[in-house]
Amino acid sequence: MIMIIKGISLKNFKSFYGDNEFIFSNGLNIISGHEGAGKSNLFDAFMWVLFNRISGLKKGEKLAESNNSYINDRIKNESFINSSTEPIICEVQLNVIIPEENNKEYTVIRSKSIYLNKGHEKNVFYEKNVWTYENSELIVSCKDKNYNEEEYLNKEAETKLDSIFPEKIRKYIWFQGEQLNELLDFENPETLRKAIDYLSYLSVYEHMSDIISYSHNMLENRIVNSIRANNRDKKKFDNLKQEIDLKEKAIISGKSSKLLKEKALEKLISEEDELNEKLAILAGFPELKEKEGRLIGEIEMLKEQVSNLNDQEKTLFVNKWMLKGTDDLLMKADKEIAKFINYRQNLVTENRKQLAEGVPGDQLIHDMLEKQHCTVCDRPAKKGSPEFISIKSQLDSNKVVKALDYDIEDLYEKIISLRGKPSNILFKIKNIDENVTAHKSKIEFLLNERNRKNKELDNIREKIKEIVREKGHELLNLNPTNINSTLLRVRTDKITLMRQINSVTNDIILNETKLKNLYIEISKLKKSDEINIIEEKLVRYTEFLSEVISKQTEKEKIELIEKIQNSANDIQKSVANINNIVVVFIEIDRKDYTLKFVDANGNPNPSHGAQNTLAKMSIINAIVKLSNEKKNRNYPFIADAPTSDFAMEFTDRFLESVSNTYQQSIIITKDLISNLDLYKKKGYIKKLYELQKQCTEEIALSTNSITIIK
Amino acid sequence: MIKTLKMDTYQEKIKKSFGVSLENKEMNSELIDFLIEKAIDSSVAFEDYGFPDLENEAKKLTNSFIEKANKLNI
Repeated sequence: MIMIIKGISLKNFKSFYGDNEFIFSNGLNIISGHEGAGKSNLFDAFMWVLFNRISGLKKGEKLAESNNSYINDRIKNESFINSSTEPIICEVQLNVIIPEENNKEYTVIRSKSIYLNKGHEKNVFYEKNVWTYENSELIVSCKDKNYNEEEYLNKEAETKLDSIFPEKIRKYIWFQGEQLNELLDFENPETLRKAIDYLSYLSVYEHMSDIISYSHNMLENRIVNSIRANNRDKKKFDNLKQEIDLKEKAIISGKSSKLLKEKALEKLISEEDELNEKLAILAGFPELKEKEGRLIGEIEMLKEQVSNLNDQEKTLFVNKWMLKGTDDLLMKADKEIAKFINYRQNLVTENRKQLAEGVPGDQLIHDMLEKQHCTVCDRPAKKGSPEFISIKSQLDSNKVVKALDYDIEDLYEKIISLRGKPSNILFKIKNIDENVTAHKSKIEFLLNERNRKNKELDNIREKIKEIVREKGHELLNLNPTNINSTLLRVRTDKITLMRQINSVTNDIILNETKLKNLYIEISKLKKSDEINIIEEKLVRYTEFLSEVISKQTEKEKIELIEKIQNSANDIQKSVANINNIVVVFIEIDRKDYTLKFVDANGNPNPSHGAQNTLAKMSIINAIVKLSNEKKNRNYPFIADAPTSDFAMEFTDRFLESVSNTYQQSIIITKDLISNLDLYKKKGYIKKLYELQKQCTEEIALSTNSITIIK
Repeated sequence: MIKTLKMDTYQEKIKKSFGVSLENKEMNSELIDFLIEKAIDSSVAFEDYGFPDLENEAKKLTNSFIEKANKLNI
């Protein structure tokens, strides 16, 4: 059975405003676009129309009818601004053709309508309580080339959809690159076992084994019933029968206990997945919150620094303003002080000169007479003594010497302490100018820094808002430490349960062997040749087939793992065999599904990130390819960002390999956007769409940006 | 005239995978084929839709098996 997706139409779904349509071809279809262009929204449209899921929902969580976050924000905003009474319809339609079923064409339509509530003006358009909703509706209709038509609604339509797109397969063939680690975890061989169980044909052999063994038990019971009616030793028969009943009860109880434990284990595994999913959701979120807090602190500090600098600048300005008018005065004062010092110095020099020549001036003579002491010969000259008279006689010498009187000396002492002060003040005024300029550039730097950090904060807040919007407000209450400790408990419980299941399985096997021997013993009690029980012959057939199926299952498993390994390595070789790149091969253990990376000679060779991704994709592709060949089925492959950590050459070859594996594939990726013209020429790409983000000014909110298809 | 190559069905491929291991000289080959084919049909149906009830399915298989054995005079 080959299934081809003919096209998908989106109306007001996420970033797809109004009516949008994609038509797909057989082979590889590429949808490319830059970050935020709406690529993942297209993937979400597939998930919504087929499985009523959108990204951000937890495992097992249903999409609430009250949730309208997937309806285009622009149309909601327009309706809100215009207070429109018309309903907003969001609708995705998928058209699928199954050529083998008489070209049957399935049309799947999921739609949702919402209306504005009265009094909405008090809120904002993206608040939930602004809108009234109608329950979403699902219609699946199919029509063949003879125009025979069937239509299914809601619940019936869901059942029909599940038969067309089996749930267990879809997560392996329709996934987002980031989910790849959940699908295949190389540290956890259970994930590979699960992938093989879900995707491959091995389970058919297991079901065959179950049904034959059930039938075998029924035949055994019928034999016992016949023997009971006719046997040699009634007492021994009764004893054996009692034992058989006990063993059968023990087996039934063992099986039901095993089933309960398996269910509990499944629950634990899903709890573990959920916790891992929570951790994955949280990945980066606490860091974003921490960064937000740190930035707020840094911005506050910058604000404080700017405010301090502003205060300092104000003080400097006041000082400068006050001193500015004193420039001339200070310069004059400086000159006058210098002039006075100079004048006094001249006097001192003159006096020294007079003393040196022994011809003191009148002032000095008056001083000597008053002190009655000759300063020239340093001898006393008492009043009336010849020395006194001799000094006095010098008064009429007409030698005029300028006086260094006490007032001048007193003034000199005062002036000398002022020397340099005016020029100092002038220097300070000049400094204030420089300081003000330095402050201004410092403030400018701090303001730029604050703006940069504010922008960074806005970006982080937008990211936080987007994550919360996408993943729900509950995210804010998630605590990684609590999640990790719960995860540890779940893992311990899981190991305990696995041990218990092993022990119950061993008990069942032991009881089954004992039961088999009891049947042999009881059959000996039959009166030979007297009765002919056909079931006795038939149990040999069921026994024989059980053995054959069991051996075949083991053989098929080993062969399949070998084929998966070879096919995955072939894919890897064709994708990664580029000069300078060491090709890493995978080796899968045939018994416990553990996986290791080796080089071409089989020596251990750890892989890096992109090779890990490539190995995972190659394994999934190999399982799908081998199963499709065996089952004659071919589902389209839809992946969002599967090549995000590949180099360009990897991406190129990987896409070519996908085009060879699947009858139809739809790859959503940003990796080709810079080389679209080149890729348009590649023969293996049958259709290429480019998505662009358009954000109009009047509706500038990022949530209102819309996707344009090119 | 172009002869179209008939592709084996999924059931036929499963049956073929057993090859000679289904041969047993002491048993009736038609009855073996009957039983294995019934088991394969049931299991393939299970893959697509799941068994509504395994016991009921096994009962149906056992009854038709006995009926076939009686027809073949086993």
